[in-house]
Amino acid sequence: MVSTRYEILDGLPSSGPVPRWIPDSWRRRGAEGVVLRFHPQQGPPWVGNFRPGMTHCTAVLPHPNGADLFVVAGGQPYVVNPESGAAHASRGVVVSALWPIEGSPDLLVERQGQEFFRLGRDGVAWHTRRLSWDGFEDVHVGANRVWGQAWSPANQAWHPFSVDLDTGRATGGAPGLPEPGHAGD
Amino acid sequence: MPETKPRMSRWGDLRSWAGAVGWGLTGVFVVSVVGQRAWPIELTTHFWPQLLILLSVGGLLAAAARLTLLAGLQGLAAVGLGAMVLGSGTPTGSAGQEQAITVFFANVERRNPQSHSLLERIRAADPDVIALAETDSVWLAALGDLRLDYPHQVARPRSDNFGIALLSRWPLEMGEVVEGGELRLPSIVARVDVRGSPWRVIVTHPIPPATPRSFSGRNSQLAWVADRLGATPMRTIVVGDLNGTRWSPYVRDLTSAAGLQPLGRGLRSLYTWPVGAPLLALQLDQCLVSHDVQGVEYRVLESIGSDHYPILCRVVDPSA
Repeated sequence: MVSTRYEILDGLPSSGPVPRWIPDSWRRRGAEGVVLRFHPQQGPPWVGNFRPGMTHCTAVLPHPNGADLFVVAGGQPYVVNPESGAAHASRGVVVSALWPIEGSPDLLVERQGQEFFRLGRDGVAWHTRRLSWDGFEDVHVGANRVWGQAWSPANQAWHPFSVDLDTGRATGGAPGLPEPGHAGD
Repeated sequence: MPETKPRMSRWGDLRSWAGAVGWGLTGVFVVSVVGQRAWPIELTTHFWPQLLILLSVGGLLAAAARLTLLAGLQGLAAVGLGAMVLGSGTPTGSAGQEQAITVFFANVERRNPQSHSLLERIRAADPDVIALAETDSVWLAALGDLRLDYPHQVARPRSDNFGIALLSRWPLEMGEVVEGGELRLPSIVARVDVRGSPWRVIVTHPIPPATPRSFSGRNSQLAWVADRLGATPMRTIVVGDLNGTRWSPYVRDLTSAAGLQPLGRGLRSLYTWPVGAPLLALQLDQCLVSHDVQGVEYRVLESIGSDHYPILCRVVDPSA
């Protein structure tokens, strides 16, 4: 478990070390995103200005690998090592929601209201096929499976789905969906 | 020679101001007491500590301005209100710790991303039971390895503001999410076995009474808690963001029907919401305990980035 302390700041600090723009290419915009100050166990504190995504989901969670933090900035996920300062954005992934998995440090991640993946120690353990056109409802995470309702605009209705938490194998979901999406990095 | 109107003296200014403000405050007091069961007048009952201060100051001003009748009325109102406000709440004291239970409660504010602050407060407080309101699935995930230290859990994450969770260091003899009241919002009813000693813990978070419908929804949820408790007498702790203070007649209905008493006495204990606006201080986050137990500690903790302060209460069974 990473024991590094962090704070989510209201904005870019007006004094102290220059913040890091994450990703670095975002520096050109000079914009303010989700600003975190990390207090590593060794070395001075550092501030990261994370480019936000397009959802309301903002959280800082322990990564299942026990060393990193899983930072979600407005839906855009990053894997951050607070000690070394390394930060990697997961391209093409928009996080809509997250769930803990019972008896495991792994996280169940809802991607863009369309599908799920399991984030484990070594990254994405599995990825479901696309299950919904636009969002999920009544999602329940049990010991072995996740189940809930997936939306279909074709008949304006919710359709039940179920996913095996060990394999990612899914049943049900909204009908008429295009081919599966792909996992981020 | 033109007639000049005499200028109002300072004394005249004081009299007219003291009179206007004093009669206004006295009117608010009368309406608040007489109409306290009606929406939205009930909302004024939450501000009785503030009204007590204003009536006391107003009474002194009226006396200084020689408005005898008004000063008397405000004095009487302040004495009556003071008896209710200052006399309420159970003082905490020391007792044997063997049969104690420590409960931490926080309304985390769903969109608040400062989960690290919550974890710090919990680790420092080292409670037996953690009760949380406004928890969505992200908040549950953010608890991280705290879930390993508190392996006995009941939770209903929700994407609105009514998710709820209970985590216990000790085994749960029973723990369930129950949807009570008109709006069927979730509460948790649990029996926690602390060192071989059972305690009933209820966590609840009714809707804020912002409209007549939500007012009715909140009141029905508080009444549902009272009904639930009435069935079996047992050492009981009710914690939650009640969206009502101890002076609300509906909270008082709950405490009297279920034989509960609010913990905490003193001004600081009366301020759990809204963080950063102490003039509007309300004690929405409460710990109500049954009469057969004794409060040892009730503390309002430092902010966790939410609009509510967390609270910590420690209770013992003196008969054990």
